Amino acid sequence: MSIRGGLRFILLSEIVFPFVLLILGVTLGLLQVLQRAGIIKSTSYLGIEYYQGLTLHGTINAIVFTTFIIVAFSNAMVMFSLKRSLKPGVQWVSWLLMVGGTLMAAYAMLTGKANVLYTFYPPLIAHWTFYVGVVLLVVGSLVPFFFDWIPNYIAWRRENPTGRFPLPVLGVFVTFILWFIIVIPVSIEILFQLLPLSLGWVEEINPLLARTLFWFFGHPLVYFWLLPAYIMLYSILPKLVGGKLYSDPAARLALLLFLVFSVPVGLHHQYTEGGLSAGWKLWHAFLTFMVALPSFITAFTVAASLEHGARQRGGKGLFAWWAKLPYFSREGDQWLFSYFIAGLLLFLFGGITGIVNASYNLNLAVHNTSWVVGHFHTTVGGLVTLAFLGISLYMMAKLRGVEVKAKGLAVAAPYLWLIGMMVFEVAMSVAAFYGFPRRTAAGASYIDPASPLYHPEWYFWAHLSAGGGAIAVLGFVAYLVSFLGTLFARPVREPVVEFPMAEALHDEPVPLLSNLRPWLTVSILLIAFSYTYPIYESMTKGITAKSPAYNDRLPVPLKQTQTEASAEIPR
Amino acid sequence: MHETEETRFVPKGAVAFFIAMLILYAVIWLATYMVMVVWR
Ligand code: HEM
Ligand SMILES: [Cu+2]
Repeated sequence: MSIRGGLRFILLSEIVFPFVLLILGVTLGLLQVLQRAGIIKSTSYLGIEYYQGLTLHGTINAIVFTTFIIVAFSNAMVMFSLKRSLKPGVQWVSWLLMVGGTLMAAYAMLTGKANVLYTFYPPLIAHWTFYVGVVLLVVGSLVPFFFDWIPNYIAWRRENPTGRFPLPVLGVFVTFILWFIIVIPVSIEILFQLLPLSLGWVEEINPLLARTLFWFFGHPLVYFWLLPAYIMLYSILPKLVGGKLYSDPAARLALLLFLVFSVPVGLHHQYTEGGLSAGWKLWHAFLTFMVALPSFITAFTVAASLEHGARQRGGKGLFAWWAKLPYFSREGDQWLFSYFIAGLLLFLFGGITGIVNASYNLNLAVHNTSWVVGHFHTTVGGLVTLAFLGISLYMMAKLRGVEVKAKGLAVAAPYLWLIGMMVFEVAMSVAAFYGFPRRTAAGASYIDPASPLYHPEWYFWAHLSAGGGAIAVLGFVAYLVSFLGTLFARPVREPVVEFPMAEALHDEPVPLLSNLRPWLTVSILLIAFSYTYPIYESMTKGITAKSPAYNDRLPVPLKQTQTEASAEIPR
Repeated sequence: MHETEETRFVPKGAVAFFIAMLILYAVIWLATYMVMVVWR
């Protein structure tokens, strides 16, 4: 489908803009591994404080980059699947909100006024521009869903009364319904707690309630990241290997199960939290194991689709067919395969480390250790990032009407990332057995043999994780060469929005799997049941009922430091 | 012409992969459990 003018600019910039920030985000990741290993022995480097850098790293990589690419991909996929153009007016509003919000939050973080990490837990409090920026980014990301995709779907439905809900559009709708549901609790947290405290309208807020509202948003957030990658695995990946999607109903079932189970699980981030009862934590733990189910369905469906492709290519045996997949192919669009397969291999480890996190008893041992860091660099930093890097390069080439440049580097990039992140993950996990903490610039203390705090058992693993991180960054540099080459290459054909789309092998229509309503109803009921009492408890119990605002520099409430005669806060 | 071949496609390899994955998961989970019990 051809595309031009403002719409083409919007889609292109929704890819290029977050990449400019991602370069900073990844650079900061490299600094973090070096600072954690003591290769850089200082908690501040190049004028950036450790927690300022970590806030930028988490927020840019996990919130800004993901949200932009999800919106760009969904815009393009809905447009392509329904064969209907998007509305430039709606898209501009969305674009301005997202870019404006990001710039506001970036201002707060870059000036050191928001060293609160991407989870922005109170009582740490950021400058108001950070919170308003986040809200604008999120609101902007929802605008196309309500004002472009839903109207387009209704118009499409009128023209195709008997046509089946296209699988990728169903996936996008599940993703954004989920996103809309979870934006509500986090908006309440920001608008009624954090922002008023930041602006000085209230003296203190309830941090337990804030954390409960945050994880109401924060866990399903990971499915907001993951679902677009699953959509690609179902609709694009099989085509790349010359096969078919093994089962269309299985794919739909997995997507719809995510709608049901991915929200009422947030307490699995709060197992160690006083003030919430153990019974409700256990209930959320059970539901967390339920939400592993659609991921298991996906693992099987994707493997079967790959096998179908491999058999067409002459693959034999029970396991030997794996060798027939186009791991290093640079033909046509096949280079994209490397991103998915490398991401999937990393995700294999993301799955099991996540199951350990979710296990109530094991969680108590790994909580807040480097284990968690290892885990999410194989999930959001693994499959999600690689799928998004791949699809961004793919869409950018199509939108510019060029061939992907430096394909050799583009194919090497995901494998370097895979090797680097595997080493990083293993090192972080083993270090965690010895209690190596996360969110700590350990190089200046625990990893320094001259320090009285020195922990020799962390030394090797911290260095190994630095090596892994460096290899992953090399992969990113390889990617960047190809990305920039493609961005500045001379156009040779019409700009288009286009994806390689797989047919389904088993394609039996199941009406229940094309109808969102019953699943949404169950989802809302389950959320209401699972969260009513924990929220009530959060409002009435807790170790500290209320807390004033703090920043990351002094263990004294902000109010007090601001009223001191010498208003200068020592750093 | 591929029609009959395709409808007969049975994902034996995917089943094998899936079982192998479950075993791997069980082993890693139990190993983690053991290590935690011993060390912490
Ligand atoms: C080569 C690239 C990367 C390296 C070397 C790297 C390294 C690190 C390290 C060492 C930490 C832990 C810092 C600490 O706990 O003290 C961290 C945290 C984190 N990283 Fe990365 N990272 C990379 C890429 C990514 C990507 C691509 C994403 C997501 C898309 C990501 C998301 C996060 C998040 C969400 C945190 C948690 C921040 C927090 O605790 O507040 N990282 N990273
Ligand atoms: Cu979670």
